[in-house]
Amino acid sequence: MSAGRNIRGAPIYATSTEPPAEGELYRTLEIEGVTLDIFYGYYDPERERGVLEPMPIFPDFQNDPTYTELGYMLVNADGDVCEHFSPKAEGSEEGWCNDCRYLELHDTCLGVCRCEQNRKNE
Amino acid sequence: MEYITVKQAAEKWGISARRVQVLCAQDRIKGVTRFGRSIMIPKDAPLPTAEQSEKNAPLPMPRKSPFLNMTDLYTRPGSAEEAIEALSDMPEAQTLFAAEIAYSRGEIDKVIEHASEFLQSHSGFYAVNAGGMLLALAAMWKGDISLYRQAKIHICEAPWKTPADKQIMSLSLACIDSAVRDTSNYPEWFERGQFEHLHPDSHPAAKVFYIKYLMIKAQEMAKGAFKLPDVTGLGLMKTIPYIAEPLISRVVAERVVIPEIHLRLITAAVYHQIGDDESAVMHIDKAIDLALPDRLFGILAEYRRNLDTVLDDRLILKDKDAFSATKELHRTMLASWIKLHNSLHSRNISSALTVREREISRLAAFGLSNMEIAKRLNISVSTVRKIILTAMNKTGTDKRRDLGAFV
Repeated sequence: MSAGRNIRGAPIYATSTEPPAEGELYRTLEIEGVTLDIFYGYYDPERERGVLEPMPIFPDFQNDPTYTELGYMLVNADGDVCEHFSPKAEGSEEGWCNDCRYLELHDTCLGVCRCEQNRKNE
Repeated sequence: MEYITVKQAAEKWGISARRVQVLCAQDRIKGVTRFGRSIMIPKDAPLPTAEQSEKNAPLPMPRKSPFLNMTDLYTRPGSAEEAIEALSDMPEAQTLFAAEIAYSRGEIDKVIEHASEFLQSHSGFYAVNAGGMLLALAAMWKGDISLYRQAKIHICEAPWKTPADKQIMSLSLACIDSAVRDTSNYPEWFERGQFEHLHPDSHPAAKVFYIKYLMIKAQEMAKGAFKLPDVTGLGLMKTIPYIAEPLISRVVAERVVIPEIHLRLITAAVYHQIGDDESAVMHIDKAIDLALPDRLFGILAEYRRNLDTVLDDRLILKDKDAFSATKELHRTMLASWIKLHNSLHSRNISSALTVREREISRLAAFGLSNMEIAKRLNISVSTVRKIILTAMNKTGTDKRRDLGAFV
């Protein structure tokens, strides 16, 4: 569930500015038959613990590939682009999946890759 | 006739010994004589005024501060109440000083009450100017645009008599505007730094205004709001300590507490933003030690945003109650300040970003790469990417460099 919309009308997924507790449930995502519980924590526990507020910890789909019922790949929006990358806007600054026009974002750092070449064949 | 040496004259006038020698060589000091190789200067010789072209006309840098809390009235931490009491024979000055201390403590309702009373009962230039400024800054804390504009009108209508008064007026208005990130109205001489920063009589508040102005300008430049040839915003920021540190030394020598707190916190913010947290912490610690005795949490709250968590970390170590009070004041102030800022400008500062998101967004806007940000903050690149994406989502921007407009 989004926490409202940003100034361009896109849903805001992040919650309030109060720091959440580690291990607290951020949200449950349901994407084409795949259910994901996302919890707060630290990505780099050794370095980040005690530094500041924890963040939603998204699954690492690069190491644990996950596909929807329709065969589309779940991706981390901050992950490196693949060979089928097609920028959604000119002059994309970072080589992230977030810059790819095939990415359908479902949360700040998680989405579905709608590229047919990455689709899992049944 | 009594004579003094070059070194003694330099100390007396607050300039370098080399400068005194040059003035002597130019025959600009009356009565100078030589004894062997020594230059002897009459003890009561005045410092010659600088000759300047019409374009660079001498700046009558206001010698009289409109702010009593920035003068020798308040030279010892913990003496605020004593100083207020000492003004009991001068009720006007007492009201103004009480309002200024209330502002430094973050007691905004008291500020508005005192400043309004002051403005109703006094019509002298310095009174109106100081009262108007306090009211404007209080309005900023309240997010009240109508009060903000009313306060500026008070200042504009202050009965100035001399060019120096007019300069104080224009500087006061510019300072109020810069508090909401508008630095377009500073007088040209101020922007060029053409005033005697280090003169013993110079306006202590102007030192604060100047360093704050430099910091805001450098931040705006670093975030891409404007460009200068061959200079980066971060490069400009790195020069600020070279200007600020001598000013700090000057106010320490003059023993004016409130300008010292402001200057130290602004300089600490600059050090933090250029990545030198060690120097930042040194200044923060000293500022906290000065602020705690009289509970001047309002000043600490004012700079908390620019210091991310560095100020919090040091405050928690020294005084947990002070940390809680400062944090609460800052929370109230920030919401109001953002509301006022967004009412006045077309850009929207985001109130939804967390401290970490804001800090990383600022660094991204400064042009640092993800790797550089990760290294500076001692976190992983992956985490930096995720935080930037979250900030981009919250602010609705597609490019990481555009995040600067929202922090």
